[in-house]
Amino acid sequence: MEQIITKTAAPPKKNDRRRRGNIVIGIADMRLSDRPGDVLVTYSLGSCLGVTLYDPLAKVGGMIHCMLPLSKVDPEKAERTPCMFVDAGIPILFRELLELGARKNRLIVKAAGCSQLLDDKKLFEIGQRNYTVFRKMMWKNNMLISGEHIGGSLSRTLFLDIATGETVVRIKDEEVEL
Amino acid sequence: MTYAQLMIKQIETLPAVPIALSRLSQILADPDSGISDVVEIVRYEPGLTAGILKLANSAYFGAVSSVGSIHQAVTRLGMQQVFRLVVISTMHSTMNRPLSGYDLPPGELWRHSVAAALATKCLSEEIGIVHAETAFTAALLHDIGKMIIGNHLKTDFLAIEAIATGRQISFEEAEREVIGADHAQIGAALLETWGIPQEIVTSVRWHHEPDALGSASPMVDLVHVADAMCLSMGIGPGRDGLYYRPSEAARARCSISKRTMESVISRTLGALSEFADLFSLPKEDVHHVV
Repeated sequence: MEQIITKTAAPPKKNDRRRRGNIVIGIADMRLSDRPGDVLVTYSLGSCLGVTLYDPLAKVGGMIHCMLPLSKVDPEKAERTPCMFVDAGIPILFRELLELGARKNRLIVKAAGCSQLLDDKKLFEIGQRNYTVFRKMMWKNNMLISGEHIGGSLSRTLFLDIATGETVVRIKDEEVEL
Repeated sequence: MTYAQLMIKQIETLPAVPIALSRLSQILADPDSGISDVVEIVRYEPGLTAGILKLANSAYFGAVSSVGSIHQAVTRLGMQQVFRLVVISTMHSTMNRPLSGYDLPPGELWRHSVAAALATKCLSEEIGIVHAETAFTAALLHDIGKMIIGNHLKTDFLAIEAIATGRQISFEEAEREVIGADHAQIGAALLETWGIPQEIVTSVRWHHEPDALGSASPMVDLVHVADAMCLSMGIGPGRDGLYYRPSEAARARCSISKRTMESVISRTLGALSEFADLFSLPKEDVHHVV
C-alpha cells in the first residue's frame, strides 16, 4: 500500500473566508497528519462514508473516504485498495493512527455521508449499509461516535483541522461543526 | 415539435455541431458505407487523428501492438469503437467547462459523464444484452442537456433547487416545472439536430424515466442505473445532489443484482483512474476553486 502520510503543499491561507483543506482525501483513500497547520478534506460524500479520528492530546488525526460496505464483493480490489471498503479500511485507519502516536482511549470518532438517492424501493441502499457496517464495527470495539452528519439526499464535504480537532461538514455553503 | 426541440431551435448561440461527429453518424446509419469512409472523415482533422491514435494505443482500449495510422486504428477498432473515440475527442473540451448553475466546477460534468460511460459499459458487458460501445457513447452524452440549461438559457437554478428539496422530488422534475423541459429532453433535442444515431438520442432522452418509454430499452435502463450509481458514489453531484429517483423496474428488467452493482461500482472507480491518465480528468481537489 502506498505511503499514507502525505507531504503536502502550502497550508491553507489565513484570512480566506472559505474553509479549505490542504490534504485532499480522494474516494477510496485515507490520509493522516500530525502537523498542526494541516486541514484534511474530502469532497462529494454521497452514499460514501467519511470518518475522522482525532487524538486531542497527541494532536494527530486521520480521515478516510469509503465507498462500499463490505470487501467480499471484490476481494482482489480490497487487497489493492482496502480504503474502498468500510470493513477493510476503518481498521487500517485506526492502526495507522495508533502507530502515529494516538491512543485508542483518547480517539474522537466522527462520521459524515451515507446519503441516499430518492429511493423508495431501496434499490441503492449503499449509504444505509455503509453506515450500518460502520456502527457495528464501532460498537464491537467499544468506540463511541461523538458526532455525525448522516443520511438525506445531500452531497457533503468533510474537514478535519489537525491543530484543533475541529471537524466540520459543509453542505453547499452551509457549515456544521460535528 | 416538442417544447425542448423548440427551445433548442430558438437558442442562437447553440454549441457548434462537431462536423466529424455528425458525418460519422450518417456513415454509421448507411449500410453501404465502410471503413474507408470513416478514414476519409477523420484523416483531415489532425487533432482528431492524433486523439484517436492516442486512444487506440492506450492500455485502456486494449492496445497490444502499436497502431500507427488512422486506417489501422479504424480497421483494428471497428466503426462503433471509432465513433466512441470521436465522441470523446470532440466533446472533451466542451464538456470540460464549469457549469456554475449546476454547481459543477471545471471538468466535473466530464468526469461524471466518463464515469457513467465506464459504468454503463461495465454493466453491459456483465449482462451482455446491449452493444457495449454504443452504450458507452450514450452514457457519455447523457447529461449534455445540462450544458444547454447551464450555459445557454437564463435558468433560475435556485427555484429548481428549492422545489426539489422542498417537495423531495427529483431535480429533473423540478427542472420541468421551472423551465418547461428537463436536461434529458433538451439534450436529446440537441443531439437530434446534430444527427446522432437514434439509439443514443433515445437513451439520452429517457435516462431519467426509463419506465416511461413505450417499449423498454436495455440501453436506456443501463444508462439510467449507471448514472444513478455514479451520483450515489459522489461523482458529479452538483446542485442536484442526490435528488434522483432510481427505477427498480429498470434494474429488474436487466437482472442486475445488488452485488453486481457494487462490483461494477468498485471496477468503475479503477477504470476512471486509468482513464484520468488519458484525459487529464480533474483531481478531486478542483472543488477548491468553486
